[in-house]
Amino acid sequence: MDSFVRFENVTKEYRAGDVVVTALQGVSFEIMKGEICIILGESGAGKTTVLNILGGMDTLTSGKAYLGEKEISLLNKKELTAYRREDIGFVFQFYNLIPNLTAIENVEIVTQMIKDPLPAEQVLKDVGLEDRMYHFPAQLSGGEQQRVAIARALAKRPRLLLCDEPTGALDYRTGRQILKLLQDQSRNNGISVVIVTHNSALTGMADRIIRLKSGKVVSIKENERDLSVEEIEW
Amino acid sequence: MVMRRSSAWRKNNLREIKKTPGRYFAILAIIALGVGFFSGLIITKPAMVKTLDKYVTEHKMYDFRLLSTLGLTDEDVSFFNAKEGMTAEGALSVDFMAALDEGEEEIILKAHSVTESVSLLSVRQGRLPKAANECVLDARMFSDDVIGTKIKVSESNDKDTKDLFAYDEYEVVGLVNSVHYISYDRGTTGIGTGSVHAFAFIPIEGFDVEYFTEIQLWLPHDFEIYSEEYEDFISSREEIVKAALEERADLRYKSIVDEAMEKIADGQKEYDEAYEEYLKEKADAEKELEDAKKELEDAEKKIREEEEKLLDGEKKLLDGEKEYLEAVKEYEESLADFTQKEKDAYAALDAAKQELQQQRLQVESGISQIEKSGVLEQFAQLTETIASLKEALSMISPSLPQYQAFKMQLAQAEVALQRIHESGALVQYEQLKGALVQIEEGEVRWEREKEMTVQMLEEGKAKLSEGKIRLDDAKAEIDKNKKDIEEGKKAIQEAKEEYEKGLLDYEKGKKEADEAFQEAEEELAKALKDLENARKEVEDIPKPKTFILDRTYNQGYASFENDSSILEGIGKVLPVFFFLVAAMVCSVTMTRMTDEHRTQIGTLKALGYGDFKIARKYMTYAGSAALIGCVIGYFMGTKYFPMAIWAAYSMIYDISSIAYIHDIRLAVISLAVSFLCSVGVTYVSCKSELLQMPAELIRPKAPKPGKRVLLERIPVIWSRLRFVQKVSIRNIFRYKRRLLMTVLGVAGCMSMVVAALGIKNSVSNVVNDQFDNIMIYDFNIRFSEGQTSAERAEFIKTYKDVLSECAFVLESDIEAVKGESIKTVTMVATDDPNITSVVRLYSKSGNMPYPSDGKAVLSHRLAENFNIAVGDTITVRINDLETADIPVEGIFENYMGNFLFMTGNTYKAFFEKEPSYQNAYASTDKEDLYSVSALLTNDDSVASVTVLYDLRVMVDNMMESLNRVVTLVIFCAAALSFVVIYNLNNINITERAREIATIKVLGFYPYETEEYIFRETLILTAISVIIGLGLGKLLHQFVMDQIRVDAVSFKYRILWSSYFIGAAVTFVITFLVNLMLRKKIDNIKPAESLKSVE
Ligand SMILES: Nc1ncnc2c1ncn2[C@@H]1O[C@H](COP(=O)(O)OP(=O)(O)O)[C@@H](O)[C@H]1O
Ligand SMILES: [Mg+2]
Repeated sequence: MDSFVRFENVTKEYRAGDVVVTALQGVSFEIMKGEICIILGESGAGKTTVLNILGGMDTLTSGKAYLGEKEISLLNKKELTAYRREDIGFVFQFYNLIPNLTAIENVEIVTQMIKDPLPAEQVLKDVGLEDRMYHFPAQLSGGEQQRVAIARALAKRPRLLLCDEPTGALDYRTGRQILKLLQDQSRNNGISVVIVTHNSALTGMADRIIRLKSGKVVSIKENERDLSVEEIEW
Repeated sequence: MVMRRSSAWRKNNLREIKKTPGRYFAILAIIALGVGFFSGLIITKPAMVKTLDKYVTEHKMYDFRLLSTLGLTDEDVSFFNAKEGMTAEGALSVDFMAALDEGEEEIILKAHSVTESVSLLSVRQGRLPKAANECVLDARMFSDDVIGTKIKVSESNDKDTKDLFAYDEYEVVGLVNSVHYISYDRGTTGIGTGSVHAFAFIPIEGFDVEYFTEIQLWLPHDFEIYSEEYEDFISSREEIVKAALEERADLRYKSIVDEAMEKIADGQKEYDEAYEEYLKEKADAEKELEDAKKELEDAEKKIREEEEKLLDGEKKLLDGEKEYLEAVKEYEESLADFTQKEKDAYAALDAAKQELQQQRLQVESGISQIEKSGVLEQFAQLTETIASLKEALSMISPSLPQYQAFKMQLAQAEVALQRIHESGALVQYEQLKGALVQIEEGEVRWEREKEMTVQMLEEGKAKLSEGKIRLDDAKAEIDKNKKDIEEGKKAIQEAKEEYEKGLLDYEKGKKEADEAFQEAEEELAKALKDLENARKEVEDIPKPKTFILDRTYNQGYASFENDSSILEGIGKVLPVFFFLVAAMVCSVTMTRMTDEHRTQIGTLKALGYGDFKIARKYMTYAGSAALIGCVIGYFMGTKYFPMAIWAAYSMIYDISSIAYIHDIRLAVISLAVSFLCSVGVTYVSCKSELLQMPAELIRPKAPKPGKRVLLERIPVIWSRLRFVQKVSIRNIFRYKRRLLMTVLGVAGCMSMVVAALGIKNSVSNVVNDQFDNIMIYDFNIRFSEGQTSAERAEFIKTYKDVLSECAFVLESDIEAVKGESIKTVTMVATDDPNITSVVRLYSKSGNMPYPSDGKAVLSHRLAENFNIAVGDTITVRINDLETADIPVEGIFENYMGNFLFMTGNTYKAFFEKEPSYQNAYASTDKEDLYSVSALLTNDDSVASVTVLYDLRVMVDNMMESLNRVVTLVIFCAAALSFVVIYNLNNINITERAREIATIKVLGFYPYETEEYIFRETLILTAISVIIGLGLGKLLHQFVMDQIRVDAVSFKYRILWSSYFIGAAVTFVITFLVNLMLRKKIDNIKPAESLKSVE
């Protein structure tokens, strides 16, 4: 089976004046299509950096990064924007909804932007928010907001869904629901999902677990049998 | 420890400023703008007033002008001078026609005497006059090349005027400004065109007068012009001065009357003497004539006698002549007789002689024949021979042989002699010889007879000669007598001629004398009548009228107060507005800042910092920006506003430069307001934030919930909006203060630009309306004298090719009076029907016909000023004493100048004289107005031609200065808009960094991202522009109401282009700010921004 996402010896350095911080150092991994991949590591390990590079939000210093046949590391700024627009769905720790738009409008941001989106109402129904569609983010709980964020990400039918600590700001129960949602969406729609977390308890739901430490890949593990979210505990 | 902490604290504050330069700049700039506008507008009036005050004080402008209808004297001057706290100087002023250069048109000047202690002149060029025949001229109206030339008192002035001047011409030695002429207005006059062209100052010695027309009074004081203190001071003095002036005038009246009476008495005496002398002279002359007459008569008699004598002589002469002629005839007869006699005598003599001669001839020829025949000789010979032979025989003896031969010879000779005897020849000869003797005797007798005859003839001749001599004598005498008579005749002729001449002379002398007497009599009669009149006049000398004119009667002084207040009205509104916007900007900015610093504040509080200490940080931030802004604004405002306004007014007022003043109170107020708008506003808007408990503060602020707007109730529209639009619309209404700030600022900008341009439109339209719609003629032609109807027709005929329209009018500047106020109005009177083709009268409701007889139409500005309605009357000054009330039939629209139109009959009725049509309003179809005007000017009857286009040019120049004010306002407005938009965008961008990052991550292209922020400012700008349209119109209205320019009435009008430019400027600023802040949006790195919680 061909890899869908591929990092080849990716190094990322942040330069702030004379100080050089190496966030990633020779990171290589592959993720197959339709897989749920969890990137695990302590705070500061470089997880977000990987995600940013993968999501076209940041560039790498050396090495190569591919999504399918597309070499992300070669894209220019404009192509990166188009890449984010067409191929990638983002879910953030702090939801990052537009406070001034209702739930459905927040989804419509995306559906109005691309050619063949899923209907916003449909997606919101899918994430279980058919009743809260016309509420503003401030009127929604964190979990609900994160659902809107997921709906926003899914509505554009992304090739890859990137989630940075999606449950980081949520309580346990809500976190589980969100993860469940992600898992279901991935399974049902065959979307590849990369979830970044520092919580190793989540690894059970993943097809592939990549462990990072101080910018280096410590291990890559493929789960034979991934658990459904209900089965995992943390 | 404390030191360290506070310096760290300060560093923290400084870092805050460095971190947010945009916000700091926004507060600083908006305060600077507000303070600049405020202080500039407020200070302009005091600065202008101060400027004039300085000028007036430096030049000791009179506080009062004292006028008396009887004039004022040196004693009057001394009288006032002697009063405590008064400086008085007598002055003189007279309007006259002046000729500057040969051939150039004469101009009307107002000549003033130079005053030395009051109303000092300000020398701009050259120097003040020293000699009595030097002068200085109006610096506004003349350029320095006039210095060194001479102005002549024109011959066309009337005698009284000419007599006032000691010299015929005055050398120009300088150019001056005078406090009498603070503004450009030079006043009106009764001579010439009715308006004074310029003024001239001549030393009082340059005038030939015994009295002053006015006394100028200067009261030393420290009160500022226009101030209430000054007005109180003046009104308190006015009473005193008035009483004194009246007293002086009464004295002068008395002295004038006395003097006049004395003069009349002198006159009477003179007259009496003259009369006496006349009578004496008349008698003398008459006697002289009488004598001459007698002499003439004598001469005539003598002539007659002489003539008689002459006639006698002549008669005698004629008789003598006749006698003489007879004598002559006699003589001539005698002479003829004598001559005949003589002739006869001589003829007889001649005949006798001839006979004698003939006889003689016959005799002599007989003799000669005989002689010739030789007989005689033969005889003689023979005789002789015989004698000889006989002798010889006698002697010789007859014996001898010879004898016999002799005797034979003698015998022969005797025979021959016998034969001779026998032939008779000797007898005949003897006879002949006797005849010859007889003849000779006859001849002697003839001779004697001849002698006798000659003698006799001689005697006759002598007798005749005598007679002739006598006759000649007589003739000579006759001739002499004749000559004598001729001479006598000639003498008589001469005498006669002399007599005739004498008679003529006499008659002429007599006639002359008669005429002289007649004249003298008339003169005397006139003198007597003059005396009578003088007496009556003295009786009629009006009781003196006195006038006390304070400075408010000085046109420039009065209008300056108005003009200096031009910004006062704006000053009341716009700064408030600017400060309001400033307060909004501060509030919005500082709220945002404390919002951002929530956690930090909480932390500081938790660390034990006091509320005040924390609050102080923000107040210092805003306060320091306000302080700097206030200082910058104050100095810029107080300098550039008066400067810009002055640029416009310096064209009207003759004061060189504006005084910049600083007003501590204004500075303090500015600072106070600045602090109120910054520190105060900061405190109020951040109070809630600062007073919260630290725990609350550390927790993130609950995000402000999104809110639905009204538009959402209309799903048809709402559902069609793109999300960026929806977001923008919701955002606009989310922060009310920002909305208000932006709309206030941007709409303010828009409205100020619109109002400023509108002012220009209104002012420039005045010119267009005036000259395209009302006064549509091209030339105002001034003739040297009133034109008769024939001259008018001739003129129109002559120029019909160049002038399409021509209406003859009487045009004169007169004064309209209403209560205390006086306005100059141009009176136009004409019966020319063409007037309607060069002047269009229309009221608000439409066209207006030319007024009917007995009524006038009035321009609306004057009507408004004097509160005159149709049907009322307007009071105009006919001369110094009389006024007339003319009914107003209509009020017409007019923007420049005040006009009063009437018919010729109306004029005649009110002014009691025939209208003199000395002006013509004419239009041309030709392109080149100036060649036409040159052509017209060359006409001998034309004195001057005013091309109305020049006025446009002049107003265009004024527009140029108005442009500065407009530019200033537009600049401030643009700056306001800039600051506000910049601040809004700046805050929005930092506040929404996270949202921007999010949408960037979602794959928004840069322009979409920018739109997310900028659409909001664009919508706000659009809203503001719409509001600004209306606001601008209101503001324009308001400002126009404040602008009061005499003689010009503005039509409130804003062109569409002005609205457009206003909108364009506003949008351009918004675009500009957006452009500037694009980078800031671009610089937001999604990856970084999304990392942390807000
Ligand atoms: N913009 C940045 N500038 C400098 N260093 C950075 C930047 N972003 C991340 N780093 C550094 O890179 C390393 C990896 O960070 P990150 O990928 O955010 O870690 P985490 O695994 O917690 O998500 C950290 O040491 C962090 O300090
Ligand atoms: Mg991270």
